[in-house]
Formats: sequence, C-alpha cells, structure tokens
Amino acid sequence: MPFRRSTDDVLESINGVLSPYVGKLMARTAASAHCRDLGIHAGEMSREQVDALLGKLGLGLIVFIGKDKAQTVVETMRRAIDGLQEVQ
Amino acid sequence: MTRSGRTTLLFAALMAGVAVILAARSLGLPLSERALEWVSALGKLPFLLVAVVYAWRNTRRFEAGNPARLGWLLLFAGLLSFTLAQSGLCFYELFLGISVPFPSVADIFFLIGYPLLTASLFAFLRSYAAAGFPVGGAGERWMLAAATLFVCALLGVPILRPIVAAPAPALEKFLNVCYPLLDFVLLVPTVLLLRITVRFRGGAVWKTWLALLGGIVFTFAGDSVFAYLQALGETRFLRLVDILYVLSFGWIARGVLYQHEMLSD
Repeated sequence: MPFRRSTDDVLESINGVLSPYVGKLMARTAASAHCRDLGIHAGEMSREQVDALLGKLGLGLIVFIGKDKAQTVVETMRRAIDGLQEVQ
Repeated sequence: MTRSGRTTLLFAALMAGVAVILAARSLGLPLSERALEWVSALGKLPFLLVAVVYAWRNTRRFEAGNPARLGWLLLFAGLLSFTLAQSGLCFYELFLGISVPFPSVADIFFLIGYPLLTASLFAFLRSYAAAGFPVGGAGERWMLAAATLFVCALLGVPILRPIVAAPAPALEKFLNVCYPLLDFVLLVPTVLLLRITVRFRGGAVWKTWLALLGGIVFTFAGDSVFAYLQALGETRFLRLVDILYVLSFGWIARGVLYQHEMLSD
C-alpha cells in the first residue's frame, strides 16, 4: 500500500516538533515555503515528498542546533508523520 | 517552572541585585566606595566567565564545517578578550587599590574584543540567512543596514562632538572616539540579527538571540554613556555605566547559556 498522508496533518505534525526551536510562526512559514518550493500543492503527500521536506527543514536547523540534534529533530518529525493515519 | 525558566529568573535576580547595590548611594544606602568597587567587579566578571566557558562549549558542540561554528568561535574569542580586559580593570581597582588609569592594558583587550564580536555576528548573520528559513531577502538587510548606519550617524554627532572638543591627551581622545565608533559598527549586525530573531519569536532560537543581542545593546548604551561622561569630566553617574555593563554581560551570558540548553536538552 503506498504511503499517503494528508498535507495538513503532516504540516501540523512538523509544527508540533519544530515550534519549540524556531517558534510557531516560523515553523509554519518555513514548512509552507519549502512545500511551495518542492511543488507540493496537493492535499496529500507521498513518502518522497515528506523525505524531501524533512531534508530541507533538517538542513536549515543545522546552523541553529548542530547536525546531530537536527537529525534527532528530523527523526522525531518523521516518527510523528509515520504515526499519522493513511489518506483513504 | 522549567529549569531554563528558573535559570533566567536567577540571572535576572542577580543582575537586579547588583544594579540596586550599585545604585545604593543614589537610593540613600550607606555603602563605601570600596564595597561598591567589589560589587562592580564581581557583578560583571562571573557573567563574562560563564559566557566564555559556554561559548566555547557551544563551539565544540557544532561539528567542523558547520557555518555556525565559526560564529561561536569568534564570539568565544571576543568574550575572552572582554574577560581579560575586565580582569585587568579588577586588578587595578581591587588588588592595586588605585583608580583605573585611562588608557590602560584593559583597553588593548577591549579593542581586540570589539572586532571579534562584530565578526562573529556577521558570521551568524551569513549562516542564518543561508539556512533556508524565510528570514527576509538580502535587499531588506541592505536597507536595514543603511537605515541603522544613518541613525548611528545622527546619534554619533551629539555623542562624538563633546569628545572631540574636550581637551584630552591624543590617545585618550582616540579611544573615546574609537569605542562609540566600534559600537556603531557592532550595532549594524546586531540590528540585522534582531530583525531575523523576531521571526523566530516564541522558540528557543528567539530566546537565545534576544538575550544575546539585548546584552550587546546594553554594551552600546554603556560605552556611549561612558564616553559622554568621560568627555564632560562627569564622575557622579559612572555607576550607571557599571549597571549597564552588568546588564550587558548578564544577558549575553544568559543568551550563550540558552544556546547551550538548546544543544543539550
């Protein structure tokens, strides 16, 4: 069964993990801006799109919290997204 | 309350306590000049030592090749220079028991410290702007830098005019002009980073940089007031300068510690 998650749910999960570091507004703005850059417009996201989005966010975090911590944060976001319900 | 919140409260209480003691005479409290000198020295140096130690630890936490590592390394070096300069001032006041001569050996370290601090802020600015977070474009930053320089030029005239006009030895006059000028240069990346910081409000990045840059703004205020009073030969309000430096080093230390908490939690 292909991986499909609601874009809104994915962004909500990302905000939950990212906002303690970069604030609510920046978490939302950054994730939305990266979605736009990656051409993610649909209501659902594939595994590849989620990976690309998390990759972009992780790269940005490195200068604020270092590579190891950024990887941990990205993994936390990935687990939160994996725990979301599949889009039917 | 979180551990981080308790640490902030402790820092704020220490800064407020030292500030109240330094303002003791104005508040009518009978404290000797000697006691005030000790409070002034010990109210600043521990904050600087905390800032230096944790700036170094932050540097080590960022892996080689990370652009932020250079920023933290330069900040560490700048704060170390300030610590050596402040230690020099303490040595004169507390151990030699004499008024600090001006200029003194401390000025060498202060003059080394300012360019290092400025370079560190530019390094942070460069790395944060390239991080991929929407922090505004280069055009906006150039405009803000130009506006800051314009305001500095407006402020610089009334601050520098009495300094230049005052009868003083050449080296003393040079330093009195140099400090505000170095502050103006430092203020440019400070304002640009503050603009970026506002976009992170509510997060740990915001807390770190608000404290750190707030501390730098207090340094600017302290230096400007000191240069102005020095030029006027006014000594009654010099404790105000001490209070501003206590607030400066205290908030810089808290900002550096915030970053360390963010890297270690």
